[in-house]
Amino acid sequence: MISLENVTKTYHPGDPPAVKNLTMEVKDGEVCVLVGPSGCGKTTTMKMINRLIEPTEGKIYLNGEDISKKNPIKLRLEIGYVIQEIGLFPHMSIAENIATVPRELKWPREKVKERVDELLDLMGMDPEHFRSRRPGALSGGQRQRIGVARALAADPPTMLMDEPFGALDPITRARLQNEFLRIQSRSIKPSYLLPMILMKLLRWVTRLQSCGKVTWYNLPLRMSF
Amino acid sequence: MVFCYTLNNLFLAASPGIWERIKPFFDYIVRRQDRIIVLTIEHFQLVLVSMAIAIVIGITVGILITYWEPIAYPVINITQVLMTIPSIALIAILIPIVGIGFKNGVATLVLYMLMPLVRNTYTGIREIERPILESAAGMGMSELRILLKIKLPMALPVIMAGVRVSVVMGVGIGAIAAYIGAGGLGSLIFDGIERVNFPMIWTGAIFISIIAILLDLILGWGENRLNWRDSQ
Repeated sequence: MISLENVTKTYHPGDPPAVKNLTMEVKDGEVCVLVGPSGCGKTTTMKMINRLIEPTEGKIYLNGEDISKKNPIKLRLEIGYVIQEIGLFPHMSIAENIATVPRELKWPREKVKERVDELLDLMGMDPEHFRSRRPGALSGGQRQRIGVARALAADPPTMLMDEPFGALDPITRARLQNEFLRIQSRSIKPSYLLPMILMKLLRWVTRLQSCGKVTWYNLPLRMSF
Repeated sequence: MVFCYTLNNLFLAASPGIWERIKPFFDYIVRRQDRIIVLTIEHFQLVLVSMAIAIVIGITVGILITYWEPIAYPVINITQVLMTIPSIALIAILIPIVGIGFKNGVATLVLYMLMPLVRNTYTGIREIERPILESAAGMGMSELRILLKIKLPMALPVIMAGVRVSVVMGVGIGAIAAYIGAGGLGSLIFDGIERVNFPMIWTGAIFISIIAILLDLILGWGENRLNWRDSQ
């Protein structure tokens, strides 16, 4: 469970805050989506949860623990993270990319290999064919899948995804979104997505809820389904 | 008229007498091969010892300045200024500090080699796109792990290009270090000038070029091996 209590982030003193007095909660098994125009603080909110950005005010709890008291490295290893630009490591093979977090956690070699193949299968990519290739050899959609696979690698109880399907054409995006729903239904965990435009999301959403001000000027929505 | 004369002279000089002209050079190599081998080894020693020291210092400095932006350009500029000092002057400046001989040669070469190494390490790391570093940090890699697993491997081709430039440059400047008794093939050139012994000068110059080309080829091959961009 992720909960934010009166979280405010001001980048430069005197400037209007990027995120103002945000209080929200994501329960286990829920997919929460932040929506709003660009610059409204979606990414800031997300980065505060894995402590890439420290909030100016307020508290964030992950499963009841105050994250400001946790070691940021440990915290991040427990949170799957995908960013819009994906940020695959171009000098490593696909397998090495996916194995990043398991390696940081010092999993045994065999277990890492098994997990990599399992994830490639899950993403609908043949492990034999893709394992040893470099990200440069992949198409945009394939890269995005590897980005998601890499975040899922150590089976994190929490996922943060910043526009994981942002840079895709509509057809590939729809396919990946379907795939993601399939993965999500296989392994229930609270997830937290940040796509940019409401339209992109409508197919995901069955019920919309207002969740209060995320930023000083707009009213994003929280959705669960 | 003058042009034709010159051309004619050149041909006459080149065609029948060419062997006569370069024979003393080969004779010299055969006659003094022991000394040439010793000097070549000395030259390699001078360049490789300096290279090792310069790589350690240059890459360390290059890494450190990526963490402290305000001093990055001042530091790079200092290394650049070092490179503009004429080598013979730098050698002279260093005499009161490290004396003459091998040590002075190494010190001079290290100072010259720093610039490409520091600059390339710095730019190599700075060129890495932000999202790559952000996703690494966001997944829970510590700063040290990011440096070792992401930054350095990604910057390695650029760093290797710097190593290549500085080593080839070092081979040439190493010749001048012979002036203060640092040894190496430069001795042949200086001795040759003193005795007006042209085969001796040629031997020094040609062997220095061969070393430079050889090291350049080896390092170029290494650079290609380390280049992750083109492989797949």
